[in-house]
Amino acid sequence: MSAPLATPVEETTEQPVEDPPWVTVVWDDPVNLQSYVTYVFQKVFGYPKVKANELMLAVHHEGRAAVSAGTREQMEMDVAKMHEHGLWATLQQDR
Amino acid sequence: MFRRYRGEIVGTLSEAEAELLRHAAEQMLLLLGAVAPEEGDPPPPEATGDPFEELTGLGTLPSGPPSDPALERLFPDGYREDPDAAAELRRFTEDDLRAGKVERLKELYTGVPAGGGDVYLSHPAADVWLRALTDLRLVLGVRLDIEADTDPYALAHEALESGDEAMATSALLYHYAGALSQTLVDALLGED
Repeated sequence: MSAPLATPVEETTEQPVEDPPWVTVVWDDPVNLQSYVTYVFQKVFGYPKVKANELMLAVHHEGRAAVSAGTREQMEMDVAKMHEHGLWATLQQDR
Repeated sequence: MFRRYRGEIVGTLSEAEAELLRHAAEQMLLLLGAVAPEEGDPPPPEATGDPFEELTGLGTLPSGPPSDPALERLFPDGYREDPDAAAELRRFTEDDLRAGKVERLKELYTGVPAGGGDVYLSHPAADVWLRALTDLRLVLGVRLDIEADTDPYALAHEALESGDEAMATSALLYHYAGALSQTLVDALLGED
């Protein structure tokens, strides 16, 4: 029996287990104008136009995109803001 | 159609366009359980047999999604796979969400000059119009089964051919509201 070479990896690298963050997901819909979706992302989240446009295209081409991340309460507020603008949004944990 | 002009967003509505928009806003307000501002007092709520509800005017707090698919699109679940969490969030947010939509539709209704004419909108007012028009288009989109590749003109043409004038009008309204919205977005984003 040799002495342990090192403490178990789990102990040295152990991090406090954090819940995955929550994200607001916007889903593609056939009605909203692309430029309107970009406008809403700029207005509500303060994103620069390039980022807002990239997120709009992600929603359009992939059917959905995570547009913001934070606490559950923050994401509930973001979802409500999306609904205020007629965008179809939900929140979920980003697993 | 709208454009930027000296810090404002301006457009001219024909009599027919103004009539169409005012009527659409009225119908949207009815759908949301409200009435257009100039239509006098709201009708008394229907008796429900619930003394508390009749006394206070408070209905049952919303918990599930609306049964009308158009309303469900305006007030979607906030959680996709957790009906309980969705119901809880709805209880906290739906009243404010509805009130905001009603307020914006009323502003659209009163902002459209009866008989048509010039419209001058501040940027915040243009934002209000745009969001009210978006809600209108979402409802029409559900009613008309709009999909990504739907051509509203073709839809209106088909409806007229089959004698469905109401559907033809809705399809043309959907198209018109979309075109108007596009000019509002372009003006707000500074792309004129």
